Amino acid sequence: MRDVTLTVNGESRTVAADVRSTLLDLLRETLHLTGTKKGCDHGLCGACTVSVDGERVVSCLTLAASVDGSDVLTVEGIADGDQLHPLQQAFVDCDGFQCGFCTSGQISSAHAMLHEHARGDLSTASFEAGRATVCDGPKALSDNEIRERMAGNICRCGAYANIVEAIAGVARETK
Amino acid sequence: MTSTADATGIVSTPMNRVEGIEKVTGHATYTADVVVPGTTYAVLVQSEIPHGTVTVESLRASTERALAAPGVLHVLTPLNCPALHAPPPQMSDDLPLERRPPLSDLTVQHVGQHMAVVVADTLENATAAAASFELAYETASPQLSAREVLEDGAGAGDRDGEGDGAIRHGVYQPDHFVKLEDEKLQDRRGDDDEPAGAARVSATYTTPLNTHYPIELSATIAQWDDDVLTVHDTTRWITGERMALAAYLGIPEAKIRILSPLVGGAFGSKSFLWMHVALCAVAAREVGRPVKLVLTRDQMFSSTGHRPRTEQHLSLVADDAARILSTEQHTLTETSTVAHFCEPVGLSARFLYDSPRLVVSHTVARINYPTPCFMRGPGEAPGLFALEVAMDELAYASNVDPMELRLRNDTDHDQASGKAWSGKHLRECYLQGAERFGWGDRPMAPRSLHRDGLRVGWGMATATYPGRRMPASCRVTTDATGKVRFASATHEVGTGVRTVMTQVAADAAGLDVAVVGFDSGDSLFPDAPYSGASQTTATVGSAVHQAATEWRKRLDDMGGHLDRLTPGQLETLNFTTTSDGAADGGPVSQSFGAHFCEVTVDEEIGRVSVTRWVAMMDCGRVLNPKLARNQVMGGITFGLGMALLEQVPYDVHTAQLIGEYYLPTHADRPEFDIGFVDVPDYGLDPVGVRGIGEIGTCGVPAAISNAIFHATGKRLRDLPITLENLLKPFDDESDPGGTP
Repeated sequence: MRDVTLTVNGESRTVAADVRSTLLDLLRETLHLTGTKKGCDHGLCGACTVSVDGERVVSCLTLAASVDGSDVLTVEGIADGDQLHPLQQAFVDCDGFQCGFCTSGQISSAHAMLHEHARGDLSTASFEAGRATVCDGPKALSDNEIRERMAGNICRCGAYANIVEAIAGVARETK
Repeated sequence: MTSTADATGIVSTPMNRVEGIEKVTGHATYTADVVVPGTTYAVLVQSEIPHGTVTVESLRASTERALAAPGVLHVLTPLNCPALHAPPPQMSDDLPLERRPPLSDLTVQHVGQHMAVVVADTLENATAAAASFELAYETASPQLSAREVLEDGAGAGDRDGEGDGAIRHGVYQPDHFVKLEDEKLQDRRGDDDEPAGAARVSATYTTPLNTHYPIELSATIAQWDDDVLTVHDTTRWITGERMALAAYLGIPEAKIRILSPLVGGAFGSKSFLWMHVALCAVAAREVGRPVKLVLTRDQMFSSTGHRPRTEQHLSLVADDAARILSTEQHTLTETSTVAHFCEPVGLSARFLYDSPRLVVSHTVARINYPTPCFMRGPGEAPGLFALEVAMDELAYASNVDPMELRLRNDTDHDQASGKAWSGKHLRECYLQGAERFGWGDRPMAPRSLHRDGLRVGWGMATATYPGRRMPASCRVTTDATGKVRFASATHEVGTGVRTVMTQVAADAAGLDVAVVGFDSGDSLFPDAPYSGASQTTATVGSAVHQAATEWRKRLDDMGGHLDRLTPGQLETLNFTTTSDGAADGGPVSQSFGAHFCEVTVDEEIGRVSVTRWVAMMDCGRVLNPKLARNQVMGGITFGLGMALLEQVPYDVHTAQLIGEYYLPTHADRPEFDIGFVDVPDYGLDPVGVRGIGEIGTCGVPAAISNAIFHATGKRLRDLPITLENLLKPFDDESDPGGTP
């Protein structure tokens, strides 16, 4: 066991952590922040996606002790109090889920992905969009860009089209 | 029959999901999220061989080692597990509950059989101790496929279903599907001999092991308070689980409470295979503390069911006007040695097209593999793959457009029963779908469409799934502030039941939807059947409709004003009603639909992409178009996975899982255009619905295979269709239209 200090959703938390604990299990079982979900526990499904220091990670493949001192944002920290983040409202309005089990990961992933796009990160889809896009980064976030960038988040219910519609709407408004 | 005069009109509106905000903020509660103070953690140890006997010495040594590990509280094995009783025969004779209780003997019947349960203070300690298990086995020769069972000389005795023990071998031919005596698995009509026709297609089609892969892992938290057991479980059949646990544990159902909060997807799993749930309850009793057991993703493959493999031999004969004269569909499929299940592959062939002659059979082989169970579109999903590809082959053999072939062979009644349909609008589905897709521009010849250097193909298939309804109950409670809550022991598995039940209740009670609530997921609520077979909206909807209608009547009889009631009068607005199952002797209720899709194929790298999808569905009344569209898109995506990606990868010699199970991602789905005929069907229920959970999947793999044929000229009859199939050179001598 060792003490791990994390800033989780803006709040500093120090807990005694088993060195074998994943960030996912620490969030869920120790801090009782159960919004982040365990879907496969080996980095395939994306349901456990959170941000660590602003970058999306799969928390099931992240040992808690390895991110000691980091700033962690989970789905519970995305809304501003009772005011839903535009992404969250868009997911509700577009019906961007069914069972809802992948939703925390989809929203956490999309939230970080919008920042990646804003700073000019490329995706595989960018290389299909011509030279200017590759040099300068994609200006608009096309549906193909969203689909490629979100492909690590599995939705077995198959609400994909609605999820993309939700993200695309927010991307247009924040442009 | 219609709703009351006070109907609010909330039905048929695209209302957002009532639990939507909880789901997007991370505050929605699923089983593994429930915090029970003092919880301990269980981890399962599973068998690594498909057939044999575990040695007592290795169990003892492993148990000692685990008990010495940090934090370990208890280890359950076949050596010390309190004897569990056999499950109720009505759940294991014709439903896939295993006949053999878990940890009840030393034999191993498949890889992934529960061998031990390790309970510790933390998940990490339990996982480490479970990993220290080293089991040794006396191995026996396994039977790993239906073909092997047949070739091993399953004798005449085996054909009738060998013995009545918990462990059985050989092959058998069940008469009908589950408890539905009219849904014959062995059926024939017409002449004994197949007639000669102008066109005949005959081929073998295979479908692989598929798994439900809900993103939520199965999870159980069991807790005892004296002799009362509380179980939080990811189940889609609360009342069935209560019955099974009562039988296993030998305690009254009244001493068991099952809570199933939101369920993170099921698709046919999370029911029947409750052996780990029973073990979790036993473990909690042994350690005297709450025990939480979350299956690993690997264990989901062995312990929560799957869709078994099918090998289907299908023959169609048609006359010179492309009218079908004869249909034969013979299926070989598999179950485990410890449970009954028959994938009811040939049911659709009995009625989908007019066919004077019909022969359908199902043969089930018991193999050393985990127990299968229902999976979205059980029967229809694999069965329509074969039937609808065969129809495409018949279209080419007859030189008739594939949709025209289906129109010519459409029927106005159910040939299997001779009864009328309660409502059938398949012709509209074909014609409207074709119009929306642009099917009329389709050239008949394969390999005639191209775009951007890729081959393009258009395919279509018919979809169908039964309308089902069972008895259900609903409780209504009214509080002094005017809030009215309806409750039933059904389950929110993602289908939107809480939302549409709220709509049905508000509408029938004439209430603003804001004051109406619907609760599910607790065995203290009135009984409801499993959430499956696309029956929940018709089943629970009937109970909710009845309760809400009665509520309105009672209120109207008291003057119609909630705020003017005495406390005694208000009390009469708290009651429970029970609605019936589908009426005996009523019309046959069946949903229909038509799928149209476009694929592009890059033959150089063997890549197929499904680019465009039009589906027109005839599923009765659409209660919430937003949720209904989502359900059908999801069903199609499920079928797309079955067509192109999904098969459980395991080593054929050891039956060990290898590799990963591929699922459709954001990048893999087409652009959707989903339409509904939206004609209410009051023949099944007073709400006018038939259910939409499964029909979206049915027919999808065939539509994709047919589109690939159109793009490439390659007739692919084995799922999933992978790049190896598509890379094979095109050979136009090879049987493009079946065997004339």
